[in-house]
This record gives sequence, structure tokens and C-alpha cells, in this order.
Amino acid sequence: MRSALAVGSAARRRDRMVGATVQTGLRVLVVEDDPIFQSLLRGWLEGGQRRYDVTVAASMEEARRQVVGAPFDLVLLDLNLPDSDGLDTLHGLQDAAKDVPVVVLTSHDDEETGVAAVRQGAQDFVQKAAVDPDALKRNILYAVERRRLEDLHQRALRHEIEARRLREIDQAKNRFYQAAARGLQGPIQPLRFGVQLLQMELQGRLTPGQSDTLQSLQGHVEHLERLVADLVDIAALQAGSMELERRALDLRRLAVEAVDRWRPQAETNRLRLVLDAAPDTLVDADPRRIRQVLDHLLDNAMRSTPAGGRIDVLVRQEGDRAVAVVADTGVGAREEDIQRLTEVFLAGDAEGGRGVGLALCKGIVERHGGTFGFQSRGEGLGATVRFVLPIVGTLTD
Amino acid sequence: MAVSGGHGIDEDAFGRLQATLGASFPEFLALFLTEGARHVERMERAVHADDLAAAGSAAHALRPTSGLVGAPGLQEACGRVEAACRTAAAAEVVAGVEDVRSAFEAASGWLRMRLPEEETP
Repeated sequence: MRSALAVGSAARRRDRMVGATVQTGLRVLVVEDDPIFQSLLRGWLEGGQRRYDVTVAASMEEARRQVVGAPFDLVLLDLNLPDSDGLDTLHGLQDAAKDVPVVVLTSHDDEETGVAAVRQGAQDFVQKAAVDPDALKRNILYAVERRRLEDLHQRALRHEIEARRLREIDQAKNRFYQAAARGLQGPIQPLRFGVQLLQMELQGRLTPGQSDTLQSLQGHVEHLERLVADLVDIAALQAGSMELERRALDLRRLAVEAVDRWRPQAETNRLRLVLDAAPDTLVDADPRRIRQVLDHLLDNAMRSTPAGGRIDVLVRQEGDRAVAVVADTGVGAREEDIQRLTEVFLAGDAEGGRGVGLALCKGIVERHGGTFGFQSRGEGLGATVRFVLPIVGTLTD
Repeated sequence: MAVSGGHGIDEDAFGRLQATLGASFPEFLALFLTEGARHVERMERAVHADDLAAAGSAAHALRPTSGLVGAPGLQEACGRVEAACRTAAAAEVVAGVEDVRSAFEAASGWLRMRLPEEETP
């Protein structure tokens, strides 16, 4: 397990790197029990143009203590110490500080051990009898730089693995959506036909209470049908497979039709529904989808606005864009909830009437290359939804 | 290699080491002389005690720096002791340690002359 100190050391070591250039002044721990060699290495590494900051440890025990207590850029490690020998020395040091690059010192006739040390994580090996100060400094620099690149590579790999994992979760979620939607669509149709059949066959024979129950049942089935349809659409949007049948479309005309469709509901709810639509504006859009957006927005507004409130629908042209606005005087939203309302998995508003509908509208508008925004000045202060689509011209063109 | 005289020192190698160590060279050289002498004594004691492993270890420690300081004869003798200790060739170890002693004495006489007065061990 990596100790916290070791992790901190690695981070500090990286901090001393500037871009792809290793700064001089690296901190080197020389682990060597022979005083003559200690003196030689210290003299070389602390002298010359590129001076290193050298600390000496004469045993494995001391080296382990040093390496977890201070941030070293590299350890120059003699494998033969009084309390440790051969590759065990390397392993002992790696246990204490896995991240610190190590260059091992071997006897002049022991290339095999040096190669084995490199295979087991050392950055390089230097034969003691053939050691040369310039080459040694180069070895140290390369070892530190190699380790830095390895760290970067490892981090990139970890990010890639995490990204792949998230993509897989996303794909699994979309598959679940699609499967759930398909599974739910099946029983809804017979349910709807059954309720309609009952209404026709029992017409005039039901008590007022039974009639109300059947009416309510039909309302719930229709609501369920809409929810499942939304689920299918969201699954298609998430998977990027929603097909649009685009054509030049009069946005004002769609707004007029939507307001006409929802006026009876507005009257039932005692709401004032006002349309203000600018001269005819053509957008390149799928009429079924834009109709769906307008219906969702008006449905939301109806359910969010208490009796006596007002809903405004505006369509106007702003430069080369068509803008549609649905504003209400309803429950509004808290600032901290606004962002969540248009995100599919965070919306989750089961009571207020907003929720996945807004996320779906946003997805549809963005699929058309447009933008979608939800604004509210706060709870109880109403809400404004505005979406923008690029125009293709006006009917007078 | 430019070994001349009875001291067995390669003066070119010695000069290179001196140049690379700069100001820290006298300290290194003094240490080589004192610690080198200890390594030789350890070898001799180990031979008397029939402890070939200890003799090999001392030879192993002295060998690389002997080469670097420019004493190839000493380095070679240390190598022979190490090899003989590995194969438990006792007679060769004894002869090798004697060679190490001779080579070290010869080299250290010459090296001591290169020390500034204050560093003389």
C-alpha cells in the first residue's frame, strides 16, 4: 500500500518538473554503506554545473526512514547493504516508497542483477567500477524524467479506464431505458382499449361514483402513456438515435395551434392564456417534435400555475433566430434547482409538473441545433422557458 | 592505461578522478586511504579467522573505488580475492589478500604524497 507520505512525495516531485524539462537541484538519496563510495558519489553529485542535493543513508533501515520522511526525486541504491542484500534491497525500498525512481548500483561483473532490478521496477542500473560522473548525472536525469512520463502515462490510462467505465454505464442506462420503455408500451395499449371499451359498454349504467372512477382510470392510463412516450424519446436522445423529419415550418402557426389545444384546460384551471406571436417565421424543424415541446411546456405551465395565474406564449424573430417563450406566474424554482430541472437524471420532480419533460424539451431543441433555457426569479415567482431555433426565412420570402 | 613506477597508479585515471571531484577530491582521497586500509585489515583478519565470506565482502567493497582512483593492480587483486572466496579456494584467498596488501601499500604511498598536508591521515 502506498503511504500518504509517499504519495505526497510523488506530488511534490512532480511539482518540481517544469513542462518536459527536469529542473536541476534534484534531491537524491544515496543508499551506500561504503564511506569511500559515499564520499565519491557525494563529491560528484554535489559538485559540477548541475548540483544535486544529496542525502546519504548507510543501511536499508535508515534508507526506509529517510525515504518516507522526505521528498526525494531519486534513490541511488547500492544493492549490497549490511542489513539487506541483492534484489531484496530494491523490494525493501519500494515497499517504503513505491513512487520514487530508483537507480541501482551493482558490481562491475553483475549486469544480470542490474537487468533483474530494472525488470522489477528500477529505472536503471550503474556498475560501480565503471561509474562516471557525467554519465551518472545523465542516468539520474533520465530516470527521473522516465518516471515522470510513466506517471503521466499511468494517469492517462486511469482516466481512459474511468471514461470507458462511464461510457459503459451510460450505454447500460440507455439499454435499460429502451428495454423499460418497450416493456411498458406493451401492456398500456390493451389497458387503454379496455378502459375505452368499458366506458362504451357501460355508458348510462354506471353510478356517478363508478363513472368518476372510470374517468380517473382513463386519465391515469393517458398519463402513463405520456410518461412512457417520454421515456422512449429520452432513450432515443441519449443514444443519439432520435430521427428528425425536418422541413420549413411556421413556428407561429404551431404556437397558435398549441394555445388552441390548451385553452380549454386553461379555462378549467382558471388561468389566463395569452399568445403574442410575431409575423410568420420559418424554422427548419420537425413539426411533430416542436409540437411535442410546446405541449410539454404548456402542460408544465398549467400544472405549475395556481388558479388566477397567467401563462404567456410569445413567438418572435431575433436576427437570424426564432425565439419561443412560455412564461407563467406559477411556483417557479429555487436558484439551486434550476440547473437540475433540465438534466434528465437530476430533474425527478414527481409533483410539480416539471421534471423529465423539461429535460426532454431541451434535448429535442438541442437536437435541432437550437438552445433551451429555463429561468425563474425564485420559488413562487413564476418561470420562463425560452427556446431558440435557427430560421430559414419568412413566409414572405 | 598509463601505469608506471612501482606504485601501480594509472596517473591518467587518477587525474580524471581528481578533475571530476574538484574541491572534494582531497577529502575523498583521505577517506580512500583510511577506509581502504580498514578494508585490507578486515580481509587479513577474515583470512586468519577462516571467514571467507567476510574476506570476500571486504574485497568487494574495495574493488570499485580502487579502479576509479587509478589503482588497477589493487582492483585486480581484490577481484581475485572475491572470486577465490566464492569458490572457497582458501590458498588463493591467502595469496590474493597478500597481493592486495602489497598493491595497497604501493598505491597508498604514492597517493598520500598527493594529499594536502591538512588531509594527511
